[in-house]
Amino acid sequence: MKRRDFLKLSGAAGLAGLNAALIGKALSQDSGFMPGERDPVAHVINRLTFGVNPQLYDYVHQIGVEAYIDEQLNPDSIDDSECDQILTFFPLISQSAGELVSQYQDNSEPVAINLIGSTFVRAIYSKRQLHERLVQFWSDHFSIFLAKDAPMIFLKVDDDRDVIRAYTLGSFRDLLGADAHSPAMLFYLDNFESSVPYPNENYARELMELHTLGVNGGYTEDDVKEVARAFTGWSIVGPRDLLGETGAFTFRSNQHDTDEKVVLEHILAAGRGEEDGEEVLDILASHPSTARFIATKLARRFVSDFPSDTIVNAAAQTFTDTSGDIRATLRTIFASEEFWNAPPKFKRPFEYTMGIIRALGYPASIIGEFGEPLFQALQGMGHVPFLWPAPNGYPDFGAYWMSNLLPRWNVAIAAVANGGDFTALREFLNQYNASDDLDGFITFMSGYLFGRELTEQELTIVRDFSLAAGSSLTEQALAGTALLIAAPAFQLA
Amino acid sequence: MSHNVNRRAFLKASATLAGLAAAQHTLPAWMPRLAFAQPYNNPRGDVLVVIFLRGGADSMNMIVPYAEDAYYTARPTLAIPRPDANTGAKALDLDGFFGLHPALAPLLPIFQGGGMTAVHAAGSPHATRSHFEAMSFMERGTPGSYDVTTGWVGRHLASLDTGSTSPVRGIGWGTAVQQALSGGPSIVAMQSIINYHLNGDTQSAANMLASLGSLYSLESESLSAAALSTQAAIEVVASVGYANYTPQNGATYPEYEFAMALRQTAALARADVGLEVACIDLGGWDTHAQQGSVEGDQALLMLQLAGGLAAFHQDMGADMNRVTVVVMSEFGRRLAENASLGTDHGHGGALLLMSDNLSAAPVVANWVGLTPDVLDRGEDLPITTDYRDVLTEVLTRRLNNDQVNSVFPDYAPQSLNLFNGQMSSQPPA
Repeated sequence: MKRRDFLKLSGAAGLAGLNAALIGKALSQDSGFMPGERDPVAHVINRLTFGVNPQLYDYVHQIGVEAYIDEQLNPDSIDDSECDQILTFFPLISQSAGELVSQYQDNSEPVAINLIGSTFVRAIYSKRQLHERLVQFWSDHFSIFLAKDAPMIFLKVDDDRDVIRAYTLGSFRDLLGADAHSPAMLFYLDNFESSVPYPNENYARELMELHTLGVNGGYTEDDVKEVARAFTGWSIVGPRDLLGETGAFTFRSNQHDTDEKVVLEHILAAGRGEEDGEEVLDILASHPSTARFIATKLARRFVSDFPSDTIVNAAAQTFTDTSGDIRATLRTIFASEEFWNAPPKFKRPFEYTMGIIRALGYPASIIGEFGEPLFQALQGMGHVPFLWPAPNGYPDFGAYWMSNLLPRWNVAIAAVANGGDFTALREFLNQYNASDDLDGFITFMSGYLFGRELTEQELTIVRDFSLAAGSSLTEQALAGTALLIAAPAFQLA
Repeated sequence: MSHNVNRRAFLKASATLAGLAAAQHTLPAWMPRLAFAQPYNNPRGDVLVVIFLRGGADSMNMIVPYAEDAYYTARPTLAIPRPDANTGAKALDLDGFFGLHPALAPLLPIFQGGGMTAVHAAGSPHATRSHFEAMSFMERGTPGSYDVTTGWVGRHLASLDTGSTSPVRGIGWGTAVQQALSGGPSIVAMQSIINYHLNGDTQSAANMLASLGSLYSLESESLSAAALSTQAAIEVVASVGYANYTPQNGATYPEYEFAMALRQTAALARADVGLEVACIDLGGWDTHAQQGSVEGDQALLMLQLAGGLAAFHQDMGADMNRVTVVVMSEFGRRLAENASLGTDHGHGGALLLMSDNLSAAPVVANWVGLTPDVLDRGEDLPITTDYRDVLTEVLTRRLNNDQVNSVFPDYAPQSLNLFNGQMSSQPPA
């Protein structure tokens, strides 16, 4: 579906010529956009990125939502040198597991700081925002729990760089294959120790249940056993603690079960080696249940908690037609009516928290000060990257996260109250907000943060709270900003 | 773009709960009030504590069927030695057939005193070996069906008309409420009582809370309800004076997160805040590798479980009369060990009960043996007791809730007679 069709459907034809100069006001005054209606620019920013920031709204409005989607689907075309420069402060993410284990075996904290800290930085500062959201998506899909015994954390550094980040938008089979060979996954789900005659079933089960077919995708307990046999011998170089070794993938033929296997009614002939596992991956990647499962999860992430059959079927069809092309599947989703008319989705804590730092325009220099509070805040909300303790990844349903609002409110207070650097935000305000009274500020900020104007009722609540917070406009504006960030409209995307 | 990124350690992980005692909040001094005063609960039953061992706990090495030769045949390296073995660590006899894993030793006197019962070869009867499906079925209380989306604890709270106005009838310790609590009235997720407040000076925090309440009340029912219970819970837990809480009877809780959740549960249960159910998770039981025998990954988890439960039991003392603890897991594990000193997903497991009102033996089981012909799929402990039978007894005998059909729809529970007598419908004096 084309954007102009969306505009017809929504009856917001005036938006096409919208001048971005006064985002909040313009939405109501120039376009006939009523409070609560959707601004396509804000919507695309909400769904494809970790949140609006002072430069991004202008940019997307200027090039158009379709051009922005195109750009984001081709991350290699985007100059990300500013973010790359910041990332030089996390040198350990460029090192291999083998190097890291020899250096940090007794204290892996610097490795965790580099891995998690760089994830924060990329979410906040990378211009390849959709790529980062997909990294998060696949990191959940192929979830690995950093706190499993050493050397999990060292192996995850390799996995993040060489598997997840390398295959976000390409062929699903390639991603699945890279993950199956990933020492991090082989260690996490114990396959590296699986051998005849008592194979370990952990990876085999999750491969079908979580990575491909889905729990009701048509496999049996016998299939679990057969797949486990097919992957016997898929291992990593070195002892359990990896000391003195690279931890690279290796196939141990002497631990492989060479008898015939039957997987989902396909016969894997006797006498083979590593190709058993490869064939299983082929079978699974091309299975219709996999197309449906991946399509459902992508639609849940980018459209709504409970996506319609229509959008899931369309995405699954593209997935099947393109032999699992992730980029093409996403294109189908982004072109769908369901995407443009998607109901608000409750942000998960990571999206919410990174979104605050982005919205307030904080420069990278604050990460040193804010890194630890960010980590602690996410810990309090249960959403630190790579620390979900099970292989199914962080939940992607709003209802799961809604029972714990308090830490979000405290994050909003901390983000505004800690004497942060508001230079970028102030410049943004100066540029666009001619009005220097409180109402003008609140109206502008809410338009910017929520992508819609406040209702009269909301405005009154925010104004009263701000006025009670101090006598100067600065005090009032800061308090009002904290309230807007903690408000329900900013919890939703 | 500035390059001044300070890499100083910002991962000083967790352990915030350990510092509770040092918190500087000036709250009313803790007073051991009359146990279970009743402004909120009338007529309610015990405070229920539901502990979920996430990952599929290997119950066979916790409540060890040491009299079964097949157990030792199937587990040449992982089996727990018989109580009469000539080794150091070995099973602690419970009844001449089953024994406790040595890491559960702190619970032995409680079992011996009649304060704990294990229901073995029990679980959720659906055949799934998936953690996530099994947990979901078990917590929703509807094995095999996705029709009901709420949790069994949530439906218990919803169906028990206590007239309670407490905002904390149910607490899910952690960063989100457990699925079992889902759909319940007045439930909230919480990690720490001490930290459960809005930051800032008292006046601005109160102002902000009020304004947030107004904003959220304009939203969808789920969001406005979540905000409302958060606000109310903030006020209620502040009244508990947890900073000054001293466990009774000389109890000392280990500083694990799990034990801290029990410590906080004890404090809330004693204060009159209307707590009826607390859900606590203890994760890490998916021991496909390095499970170990008398020592190993699972033994370390059992130390946490037993240490926390024993401290809670000691702390509650005579008040255990009004508390029921249930420990469960999504499934048990395979009888036979695998190639990596671990066990794969199995079927039947064990539930543990802790209460001063148990009438049953230390181990209750419809035990049919461990021969291949009786094992589920020829390899896993069969389920001969549906976990809903156990929970139904808790509901009717201890929680004063006879609306069993609301909690476990379309299920006809079998009586197990695990508890003494019938629940009085009168509030405790």
